[in-house]
Amino acid sequence: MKKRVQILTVILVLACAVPAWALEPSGEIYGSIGYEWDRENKEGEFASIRTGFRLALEDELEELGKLHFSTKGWLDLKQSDGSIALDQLWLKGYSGDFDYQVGRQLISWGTADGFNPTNYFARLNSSALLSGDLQGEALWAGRAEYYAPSWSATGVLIPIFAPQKIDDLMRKMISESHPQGALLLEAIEKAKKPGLGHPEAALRVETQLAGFDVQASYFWGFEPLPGMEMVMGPTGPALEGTYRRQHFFGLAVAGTVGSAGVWAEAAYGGPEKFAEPDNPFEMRIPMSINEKYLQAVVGGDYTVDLGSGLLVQAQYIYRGQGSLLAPYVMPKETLEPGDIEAAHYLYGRLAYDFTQDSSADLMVLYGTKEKAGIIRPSYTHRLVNGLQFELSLLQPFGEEGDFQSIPTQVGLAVKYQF
Amino acid sequence: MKRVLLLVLAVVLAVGSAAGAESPTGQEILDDLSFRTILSGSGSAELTMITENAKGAQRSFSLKVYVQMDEEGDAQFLEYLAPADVRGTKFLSVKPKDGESQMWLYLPALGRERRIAAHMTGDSFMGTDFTYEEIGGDFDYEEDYTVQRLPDQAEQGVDCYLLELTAKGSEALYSKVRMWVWKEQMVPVKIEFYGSGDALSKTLTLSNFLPVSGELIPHHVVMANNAQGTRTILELTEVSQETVDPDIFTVRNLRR
Repeated sequence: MKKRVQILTVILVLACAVPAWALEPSGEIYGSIGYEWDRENKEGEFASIRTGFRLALEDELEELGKLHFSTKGWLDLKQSDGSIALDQLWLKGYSGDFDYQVGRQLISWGTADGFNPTNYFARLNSSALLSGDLQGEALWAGRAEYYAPSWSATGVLIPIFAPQKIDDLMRKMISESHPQGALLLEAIEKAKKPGLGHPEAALRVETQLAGFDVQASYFWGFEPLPGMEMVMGPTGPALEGTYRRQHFFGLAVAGTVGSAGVWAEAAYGGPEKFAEPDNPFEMRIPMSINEKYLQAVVGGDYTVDLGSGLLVQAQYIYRGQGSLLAPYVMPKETLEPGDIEAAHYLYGRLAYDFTQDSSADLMVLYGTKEKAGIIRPSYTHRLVNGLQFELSLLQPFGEEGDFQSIPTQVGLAVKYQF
Repeated sequence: MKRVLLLVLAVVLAVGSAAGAESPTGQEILDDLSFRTILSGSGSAELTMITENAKGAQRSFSLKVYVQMDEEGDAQFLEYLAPADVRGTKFLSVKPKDGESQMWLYLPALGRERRIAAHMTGDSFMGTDFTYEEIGGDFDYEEDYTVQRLPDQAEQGVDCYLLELTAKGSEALYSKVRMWVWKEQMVPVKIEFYGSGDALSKTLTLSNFLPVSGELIPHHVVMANNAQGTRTILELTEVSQETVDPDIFTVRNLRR
């Protein structure tokens, strides 16, 4: 009933908005088929047969600003599931040296691609990260930007915290890579979300130094997924999740060195420590990191003069919280609970345009701790009038780690943009 | 000023004063060509850009372009208006007079700008036959080439001076450049770019010159990649010589 009301509301808003704005809508319609191969059981199946859309309306308000509305939805015939939801709805205004934007919006910070330690707001789910879709989730926020001649500052206020969405892949990884996977998912659902009166905020200052774009930032918010503890009490062990306050100081740099583009990002901080138990007969074992940590990325890209130009991109990723994809990492026996061994990753990407209509992409992500990773080749062909199709393969390799819970996936997607 | 601004800006190539000497030297012809952005240093244009592959299949784009060239340096800003898959993509290039070029690309899907290496020579801009370097206008004939006048030739039905520019060193993007300059109007109507081994790499053709605020502006520009058999065609649909607000050429404007 609730979903039906939401769908009707969106359609109603849409129906009113189109003629009122007298604008040409833009967006996309897509269809995709996903085939998964279970390497352990040597079985394959069509995991998803999905169709979806995104529709956007945008109006320039002369010199004053901009108004934007967009909605998106999908329907999976294989999983008999679907969704239609508001994507973005915001008003942007310009006033002297200030720009401001209020409403549901995408706030994207940082200088690196995909794995951004200082991108505090535009959270990417696992599927998006692995598919190269770099657009994060929009959220309700107020944003103000001040532009001085040689520097600028951006302040963001999130009145109501929105937790990380758990997509199918993340659900699978949590449930398969932990002995308590099912309990973890249940505890995440049960964790009390910070409501009104518990805002998030961030401040970013930008300038240029020696030709490099430099961004310094501070984030005051909550963990995207609840910190998890195993509670050993009189009634036996149970998992309990708490959305803890966290603080991060970030620094991001981007520029060029000769013919190469280079970037680096680092964020230091973390959640507040779990509270000490009030009950003397209760013991709590942290299953999430319980100390401050560092996450960092250093990368660069270069276009090799080969044919139409081969783009080579490489990144080193440091994750002090122990994993790139898994939100919960079991501490090692040699470490104290809550102390987690840092993880290191290497990311590489090659991109080549065969013609203006066809291109190939190869992405490799390798975890040095797991000695495992994933490889994702894809081919895109663009037809006339905004129609394109993509064929892709996602293949894990190596023996251990979170990557092993990712099934081999073959995908064929057709997209029409208008 | 002897800088030639290519690509979108070639659109904006403008006229200089007429040649004064009876039989000018190559250097004098080049000196008399007062290449400026269409708009005498500042202006904007809307144009259609068509990319054509070796089989003749075409893809059309609609663009809005802003240009500013003055004593402080050069700046270009362009925004894709169509088709849908690139709509909202913006490109900013800023080159202070005595500084390095800086370039940013704003991708709407990413929701933020991205720095681009300023000298990605060989890397085509958004699948066109122009390089990032050419798009940014960072192509200095005066510094990189010596000029020699060859026997006059007719091109596009008009009498032209023919100039040959030879690279002074390996820093130059092309080993040799040939330029046909319309005698009567002192504007280039064709430029050939030669790569290694003096093989013809690209050909730029400028035509349909129409007066805009008293200056002749080419409204039809074709860059042909002779090696790959591809072409990029620019058709100007609207040109303005009104001074562009300097705030256009800022990262702030990219984000708007």
